Amino acid sequence: MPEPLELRVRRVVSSVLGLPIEQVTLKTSNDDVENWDSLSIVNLMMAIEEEFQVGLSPEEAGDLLSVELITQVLQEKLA
Amino acid sequence: MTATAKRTSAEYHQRARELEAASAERPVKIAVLASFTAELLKPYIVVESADLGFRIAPWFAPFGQLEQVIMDPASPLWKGEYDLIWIALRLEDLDPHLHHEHPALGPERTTARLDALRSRVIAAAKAARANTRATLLLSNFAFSSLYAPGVFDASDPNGFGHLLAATNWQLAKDAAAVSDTHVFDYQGVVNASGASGWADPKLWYMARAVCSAPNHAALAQGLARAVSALVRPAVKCIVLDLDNTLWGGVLGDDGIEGIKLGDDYPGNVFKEFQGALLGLHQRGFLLAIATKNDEATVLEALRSHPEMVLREKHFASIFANWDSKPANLRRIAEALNIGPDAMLFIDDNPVERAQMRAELPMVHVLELPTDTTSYVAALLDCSLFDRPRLLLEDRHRGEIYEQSRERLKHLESGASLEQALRDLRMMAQVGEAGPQTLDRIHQLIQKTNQFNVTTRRHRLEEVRDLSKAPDAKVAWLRLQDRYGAQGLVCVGILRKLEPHCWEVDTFLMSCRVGGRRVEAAFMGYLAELARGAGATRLRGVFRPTSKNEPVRRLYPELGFRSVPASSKDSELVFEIELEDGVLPWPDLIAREENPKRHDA
Repeated sequence: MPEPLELRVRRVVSSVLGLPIEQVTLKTSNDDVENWDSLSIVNLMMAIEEEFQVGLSPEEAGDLLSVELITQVLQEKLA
Repeated sequence: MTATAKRTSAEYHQRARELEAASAERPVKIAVLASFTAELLKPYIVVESADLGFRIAPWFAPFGQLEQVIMDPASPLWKGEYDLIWIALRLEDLDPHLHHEHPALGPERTTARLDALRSRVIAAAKAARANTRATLLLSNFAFSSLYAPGVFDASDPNGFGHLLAATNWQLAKDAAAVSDTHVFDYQGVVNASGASGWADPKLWYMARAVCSAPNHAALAQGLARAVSALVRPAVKCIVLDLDNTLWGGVLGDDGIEGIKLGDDYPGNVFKEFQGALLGLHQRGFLLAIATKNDEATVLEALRSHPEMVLREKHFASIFANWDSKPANLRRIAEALNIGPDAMLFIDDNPVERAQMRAELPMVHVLELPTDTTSYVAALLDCSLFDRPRLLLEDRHRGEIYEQSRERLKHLESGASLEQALRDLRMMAQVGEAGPQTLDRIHQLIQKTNQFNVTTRRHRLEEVRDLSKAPDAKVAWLRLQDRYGAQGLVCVGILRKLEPHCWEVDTFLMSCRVGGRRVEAAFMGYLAELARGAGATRLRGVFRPTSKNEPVRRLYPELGFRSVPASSKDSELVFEIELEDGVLPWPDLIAREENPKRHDA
């Protein structure tokens, strides 16, 4: 069975932001992660586009603010 | 260099964090002053430098602030003790409409706009140079896909591409006029990766990202190679296998007539590989052979095969026998007096390569591809040959080692050592550092490991400052003998400690002139310089490293007395009173006075 989307998103967020994977939950967001700033959003965008082989628009990139939001954006993209 | 990243973005981030957490050795600290969002390069720079065997710790000035950061004495740029400053301004960031306007502007006004940009980079470099001894690296200018020239741009002598090339040429000339300042070939990196896919317009418009996500790795790799060439020593010797490396087939089985070497496939692959190695030899890399073969047959092949590009005289050392490759590599290291960490091993056999890595992990091993048609590319892509510039000594190094084999035969000829040394008819020239000698002096300071009493790796700018300082002296010695010129082989730096006591800050000698009393001559010269500056006492320090054990007893052997060391336990301190007749110049070395005080 392929890895669930949410887990893959948590992995990317963990790698890019330098958080232990067990600390990254669906609710993890830019509100509680200090270095989840505009630079990290670009880094996340680059990593997510590559990991999921999708192209995100600048508007969608603006939504990369929590694991939940990222998962939602990807669910729509990959549907 | 390819646009295909070896890792995913997420993996670069992960790996960079691991490296930053684990690394114990001091990284090369670089400051990046860019007209784009250079922070995005950070994990790529950390990982790519580690892949080359060192570590870069980058700091990024606030985006787009060049003059502000350089001109402000309180800026963090001047607090970080950076080894290197990369000034990365891009045409497309600073004059984004020039390309669109160029056809209407015409060549003069376009050139004036390009000149303004180049002048800005050079002015920044000069302003930085006034404040720092860090090496300076200046990006040249490139097209990206967003700014690709028209189909007939190249057809027009005033086309944008030609004007840009002229600007880059002038930038190189301007940079060469600022000391320890080099051009980073940003244009070359863009072209190698593919200009058409270089930029990602979305990332640029959104975030001022310099290029697409995968190209961040290519740019970081290009940067890491440039930094590596500027701050790390290059390899000194290439140790080669023969069968299926320098020629196709097996000499012992196929015979001299049967090996594949010539102008048609598959011989042309090996002939060109030899040609590339000859080019490296001419750039100052020593060649040596470690092969499981019969020595007489090997020499016969090198001497008589009509298609052989590399001949016996090109090899500083040849070991053809049935011993293991690591054993032969050790012998080569000993014969040439260089450390295994300055050697690159090339062998088509993966088992031999694995054995070398296992037994001598400090030796660099080239991952030669199984496809022989990729041999030349694999060789030339090796970052260990990168050097910012070629010195006269580099070009002649191969010849110098050739002469040294003659010299060795001479010294082993049976006469007494004293007589043999006299028969060498050595002649030394000494002088104080000047513009003509600084680069070579700096090179020796960076790479001399064994005959180096303090191993202080002064940067080029520090050496220049010391050479001009009233309380310091930077001196050199050149040697020649009946077998030829050996070039500049000794470097010494003196510093005033007290009015009457000077200290030898640096005393080093190229190992190829060891055992010939040259060190006594050079110390005699340093003593004269110190005396001339009013010193009555000379102090020397031995700072042990893993490699300079051979000079532990240098000072006592020259007549210095040991004095109790003050601060650091491992340091040994020696002194000598500069009375008449101490530290005499050995009479078996003739001395040629340098006519000018400075050799400019």
